[in-house]
Amino acid sequence: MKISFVLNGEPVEIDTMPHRRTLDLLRESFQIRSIYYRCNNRGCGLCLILLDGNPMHSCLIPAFELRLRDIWTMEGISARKEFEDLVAGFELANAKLCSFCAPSRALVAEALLKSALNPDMKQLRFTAEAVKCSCNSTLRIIDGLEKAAEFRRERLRVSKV
Amino acid sequence: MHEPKTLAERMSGRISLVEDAGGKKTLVGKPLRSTVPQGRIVEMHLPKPPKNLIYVQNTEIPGSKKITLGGVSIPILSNRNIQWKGQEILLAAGPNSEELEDWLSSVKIDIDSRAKGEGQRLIEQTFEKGDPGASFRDAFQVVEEFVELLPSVDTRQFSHSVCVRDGSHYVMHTATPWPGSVRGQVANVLKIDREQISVRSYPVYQGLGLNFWNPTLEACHVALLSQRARRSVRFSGVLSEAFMSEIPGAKFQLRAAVDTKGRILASEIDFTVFAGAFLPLENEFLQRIVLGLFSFYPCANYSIHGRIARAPHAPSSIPPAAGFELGFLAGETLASKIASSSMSTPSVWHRESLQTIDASFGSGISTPKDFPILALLDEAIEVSDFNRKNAAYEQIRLARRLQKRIPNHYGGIGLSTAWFGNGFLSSSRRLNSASLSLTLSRDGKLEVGLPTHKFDDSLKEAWSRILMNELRINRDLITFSFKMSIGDLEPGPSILGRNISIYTRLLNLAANELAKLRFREALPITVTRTHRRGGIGSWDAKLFEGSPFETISYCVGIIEIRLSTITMEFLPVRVWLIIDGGSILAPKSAKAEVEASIQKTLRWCGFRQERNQFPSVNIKFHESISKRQSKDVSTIPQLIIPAALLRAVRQATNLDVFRLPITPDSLVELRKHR
Repeated sequence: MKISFVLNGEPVEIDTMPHRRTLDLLRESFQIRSIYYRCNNRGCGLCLILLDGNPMHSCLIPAFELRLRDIWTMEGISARKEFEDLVAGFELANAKLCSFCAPSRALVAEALLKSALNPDMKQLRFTAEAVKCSCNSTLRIIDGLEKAAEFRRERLRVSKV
Repeated sequence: MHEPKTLAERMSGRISLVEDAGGKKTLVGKPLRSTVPQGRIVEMHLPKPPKNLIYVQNTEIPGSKKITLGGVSIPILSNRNIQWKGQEILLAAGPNSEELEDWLSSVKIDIDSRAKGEGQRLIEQTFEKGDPGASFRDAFQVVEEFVELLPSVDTRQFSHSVCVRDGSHYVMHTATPWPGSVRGQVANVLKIDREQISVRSYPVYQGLGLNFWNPTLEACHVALLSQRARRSVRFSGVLSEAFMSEIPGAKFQLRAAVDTKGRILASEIDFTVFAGAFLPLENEFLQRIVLGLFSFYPCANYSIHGRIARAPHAPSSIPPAAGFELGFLAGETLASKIASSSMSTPSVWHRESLQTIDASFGSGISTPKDFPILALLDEAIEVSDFNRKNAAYEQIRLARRLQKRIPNHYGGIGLSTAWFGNGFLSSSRRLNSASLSLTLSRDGKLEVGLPTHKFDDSLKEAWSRILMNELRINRDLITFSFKMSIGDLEPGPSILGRNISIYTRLLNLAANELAKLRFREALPITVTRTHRRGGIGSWDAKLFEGSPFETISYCVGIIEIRLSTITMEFLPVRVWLIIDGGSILAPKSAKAEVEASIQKTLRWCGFRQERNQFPSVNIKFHESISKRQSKDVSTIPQLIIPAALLRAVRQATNLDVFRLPITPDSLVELRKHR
């Protein structure tokens, strides 16, 4: 089955089995290395991608679902200038994210900041809990997200509400 | 080996993990696992494999058929006897994953599941000193306690190993806390020279426990397939929950004879650890439990009977403190009970008990000159306002029957003390070895050579500061390389705080030496420092006396909780930890690590973080006079929190809660049976 979609801003097309997992498709056919296969049942959040702007578990999405959709992974997001806000935020909060969860945490942080420049505690907690990794405490992640939001507001010259 | 990248590189996914190793022509390998926990293979029918598909059975292993890790020998493949559910019976590899699975599913195995496998032995040890019987006869009071810890499984376990063939050379790609063990074991199994094998180590996923047997076993599997196929082979997958390794659970039955002042005269302890088919480091594990049981409280007469019961599950992983978690939980819970049944308040009892410590603490561990525990205790009690809160919660607990209406929450507060020995009790060279080199090149660059990558950014930054001060060198000129050369010492596992305590000491020693040599000898100069468990005092493993560890971290922790009377869920409100971690190299990172460890421990104890607010955490590092020594601080919350939490929950529920993890169901059940 031929499937066309937009990957990190570039239109792409691939001939593949429709039931193939998006995780495998992206890793094997498009060399996307920022998503990992660790739990297979939505348990870890290390395979998150942005599907039309929403974080989704790529291990649960069949390839045919990608048709005409807009996919973003950290390979694409990190090429943008706004990525610096995320790094600066987590660095300032002293959240030394591990190699496994760092891309997924950055991805959900980006999704959060796209939807809310002044995230409330509920949104922050939801975002912090989206990735289950024990390398940092939730408090530290929330602090990182808040600081990243501050940097993003500064970049966009938006004041805190 | 790969140097851990910067945060920006990690966040952008520009870091390669084990699954990224190997090229497109790498074969896919898979094991055929036993679906029964025990039995004897009567017959195995293997259909003709498709072209390019190869398989390996136990009888075809050229070298050793077992790996020896931490004192236990684990079979590479099942021979006739199946020892655990999920044990590998056969290995196969082929270019196509689906074809491979089809072939594996067509293998027919006749297993007599009535037959008992090997490995059903019970390891028992008794530790005795003095005359506990006489002390119990003369005791003012006998305090009894029962504690149970259920086994726990980290459901995010996966298996990734790649063996890349380059002619007769094997490059093992693996993620393990003990890369040093991989080369030796693979060489023994393949019956080839160690020089034909090199190991590339990758970051290890921080789960609940430490699993170093599975990556080594898997490396042997993938190397066997690679040897047979003469091609590179990868193992990649997530383990089914039924086959996962568990952190052992345990049951403790404790009795203590106490005098009129609440001092422990004697103790009788009986405990059983429930492990899988094998428990790597089992002797170390048992001894560390016993040391934890004593905690700080000297006891002249004791009789401790410990055993490890093996069940036909996957070999166990060990928790991060390798047994201290279980020992301190039981020992400090008993201490809390003695404190609450004594004539004084818990803080006074703890203070008086700790005040009597002079030359040695616990079973007979020599106290250092600057033994900080009393200072830590006083500080913890003061900052947490423990005495007032404890009196208030106790008052409410005792007057519960007089209350006319039930409040939404009851409160509780618990205090616990712990210490953590950095390194192994065992004097095994394979476990203890560590080495570090500093090379100053002609262009003024300084290379720090480490055998394994498991050193985080903050530690590297702290080390860079030490080197900048010692050698007056710019940060830009310092680089870290991670390699294990052929002739090098194979380093022991990066666990039990060895990285921070041992490697920091080696770095200091090497930097001092290099500072002396740099103006005397021609460049380049390489200084290597090696650790082989030297320079520490004697340790009597029978009497548990002497100096078992190079450095010891100390901590006093207090936890305040709320218990909902509607849902029976406990909610940690505040945590105070006063830690003596020697010289803290990177305070901010250390604090972040302690916080993460608190969160992990609370989850382990049954706290559902997803639905509740994380407690407010107060961490204070108490720097002792031994400025140069750095000690691990990230493991200690796992020794402190469970016992303190159990005490707090008991106060809030007014029930003798004895089991961890604490669940609403178990509390309701206890209330029914009161």
